[in-house]
Amino acid sequence: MTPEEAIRRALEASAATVEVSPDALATIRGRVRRRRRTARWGWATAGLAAAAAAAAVVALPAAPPAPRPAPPATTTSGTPGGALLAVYWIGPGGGLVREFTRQPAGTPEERARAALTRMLDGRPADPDYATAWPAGTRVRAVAVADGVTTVDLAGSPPSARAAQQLVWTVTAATGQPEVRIGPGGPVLRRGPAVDTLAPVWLINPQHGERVPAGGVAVHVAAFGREVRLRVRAASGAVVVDRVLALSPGAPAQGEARVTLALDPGAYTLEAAAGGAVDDHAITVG
Amino acid sequence: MEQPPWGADEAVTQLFGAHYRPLVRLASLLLHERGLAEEVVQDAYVKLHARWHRLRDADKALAYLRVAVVNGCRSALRHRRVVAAHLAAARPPADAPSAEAGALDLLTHAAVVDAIRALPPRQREAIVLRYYADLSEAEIAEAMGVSRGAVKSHASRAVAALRPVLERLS
Repeated sequence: MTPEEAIRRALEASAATVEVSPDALATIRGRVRRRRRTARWGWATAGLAAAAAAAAVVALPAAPPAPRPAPPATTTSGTPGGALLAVYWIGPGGGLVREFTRQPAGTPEERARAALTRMLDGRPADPDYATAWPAGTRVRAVAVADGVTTVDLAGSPPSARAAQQLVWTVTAATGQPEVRIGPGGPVLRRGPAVDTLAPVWLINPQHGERVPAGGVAVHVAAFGREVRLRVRAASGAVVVDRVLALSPGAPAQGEARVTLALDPGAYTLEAAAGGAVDDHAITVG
Repeated sequence: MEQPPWGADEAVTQLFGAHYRPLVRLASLLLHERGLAEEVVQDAYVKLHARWHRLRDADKALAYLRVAVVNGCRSALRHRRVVAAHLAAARPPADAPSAEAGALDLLTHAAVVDAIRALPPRQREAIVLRYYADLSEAEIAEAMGVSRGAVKSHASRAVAALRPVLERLS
């Protein structure tokens, strides 16, 4: 590991342990209201330059992306028997979530192009997920050289979130740590997992999956120490409600696996951690 | 980026959702005192609210929040002398590291973070903004209110100071 990478990981691990108070927004609003009632006075704004943010070019030694929780055993879409390909989406809380599809095996460029095409297509298996990219954005070219994947799109990222959605998807497909959007674009890397990813992922089973009766293998990833897993039957009745301990993962996510005995029928699985929920509808039998 | 048609209240709400938690994490890396980190970031949002009519742009607002957080942490360090308190409280080297890879990683991370904590404030800012916030040199210069050349020299001195710790651990 390079010194830079060691520093990066250590800072991310430390940051991952910081939580914020749940009433912070109310505190800020209260202070704004009190401030309005008092006479207006100048705020110290020394050192402020309101120039437009310059292109983010961070030249750093290449390092592989941090390990991520393993992919699910099965997927609901794509080519049967092909290679697993991760596509990142925007989850309900704004953090990134991941789905897998099977695609024919190919070169890193072909995998990146296939994953991007799917991402820009904007049709995740889980309807709670979305893409941050405008409809109609197309991939013109993908090239990998010296650890940097250059993606030529008919369009630029509409937001930092959209850029991260693309960076996580492309780096997962190519295994290379850096991404450039457009030949003259800045070099981008994955943002800190704890700030970028959704607090909880229900990895397996995927949304819409049909699982054989017997044992339903559930695989969850989340930040923190534990995750609450609830399973509702079609009637809405909660048939499973368990708190699972997560493997220590900071700065990456921790993981938990459990096998549930469920009778044939339709269910909704809910994994909750860090104030967020990921839910998938599945059919057993 | 398209101009968001937000009023000041809406801007604070939107920017809170998008950036509050990462900014608190940034402040806590600069300060190593969590309660204080939240206070500094809340100050920045209150200032942003007053300033919104002149910014009216989410990117500029984020740059503004970063400057306010870095400045806020600096003055908090000056006024509360937390640096001294934290240096005194720096944890002793851990004994009996566990064989578990996860636990060993945690010890390594803690040693690196302790070493970053012991850096002079400007060097620590340069390191945290570069390696945690992943900012460009120009963005770091803006957030710290210094030139790009100064960012470079703070960062390289910091990496040189950290190198012995990193080598011991590897």
